[in-house]
Amino acid sequence: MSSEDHSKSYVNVLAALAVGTAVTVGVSLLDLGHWGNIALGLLIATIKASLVVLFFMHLKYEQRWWAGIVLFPMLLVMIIIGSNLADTGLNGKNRGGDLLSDPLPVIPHAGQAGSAPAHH
Amino acid sequence: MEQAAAAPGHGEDDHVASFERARLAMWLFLASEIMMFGAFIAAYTVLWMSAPSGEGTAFDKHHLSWKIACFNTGVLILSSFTMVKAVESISKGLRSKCEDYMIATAALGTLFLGVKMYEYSLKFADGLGPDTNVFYGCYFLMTGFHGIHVLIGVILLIWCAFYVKRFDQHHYAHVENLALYWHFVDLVWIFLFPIVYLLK
Repeated sequence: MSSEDHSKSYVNVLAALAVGTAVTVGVSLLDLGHWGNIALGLLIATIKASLVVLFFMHLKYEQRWWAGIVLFPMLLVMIIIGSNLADTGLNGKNRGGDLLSDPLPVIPHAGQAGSAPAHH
Repeated sequence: MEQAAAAPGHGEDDHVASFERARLAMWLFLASEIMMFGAFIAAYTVLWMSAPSGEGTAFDKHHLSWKIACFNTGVLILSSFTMVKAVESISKGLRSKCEDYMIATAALGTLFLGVKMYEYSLKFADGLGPDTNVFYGCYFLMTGFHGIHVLIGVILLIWCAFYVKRFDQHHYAHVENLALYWHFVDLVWIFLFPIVYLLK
């Protein structure tokens, strides 16, 4: 981290975060469509979070590879979320499973397909 | 000892390296925290996307007050600013100013927790709890874990402010790392606010 004077940038970031919060609320009150509201809300949150990480947490002034410490786990989280979305009904807007009400599918054990379950 | 005496300035290099190691360790800790809150948000997202949206559904959020949450967002953002000013002050050797900013940050964190308790009390008064449905289960889990992080941060801030005499412009790794933790807590809330309260 450099020891330069960042006082002005701190005030600017504070102002940007306040404006970003107001815009987040304003956008949520508009009807931009289901996915439009979600995409814009998350985009603004990501911009706000980036400002906090880069300026308040000083990542901008650290060695560049340190950014990977933040980005790699975030990538993993994105993969976890993305890989599971196909199993959801996307709020009923897509054909897909409904994890909250669908009954569990009956899956026979390997080698037992078509055979009667064993009773003891 | 002889080696240290034979190499003037070597101790300062050691100090700089240890300061950098301390920050790196904190970043690695925060990476594990990203995974923890990321797992919560991932579970919430999958459940959210699995439910039909709109009123009368499991994810009907009309009982939540976005105004209270918005106020709390402002409080946390302001506390992040006072925290970064605390680090700036101690990096210039201004102990008293650093102490003031840390106490201000702790006060804002306490205000956040007070408002959060008030918000919880409204939910309980309406008969809404973690066992109401899947949404309120996620809501109390995510905001509760976040609240515990804020509480830990407030305790550490008070501790750090109490021992501020131990720090100066060359030795303030504790303050810097506490600031990283506090900003992370703010960062989590920046995502929780729209995801939990605003997006339908």
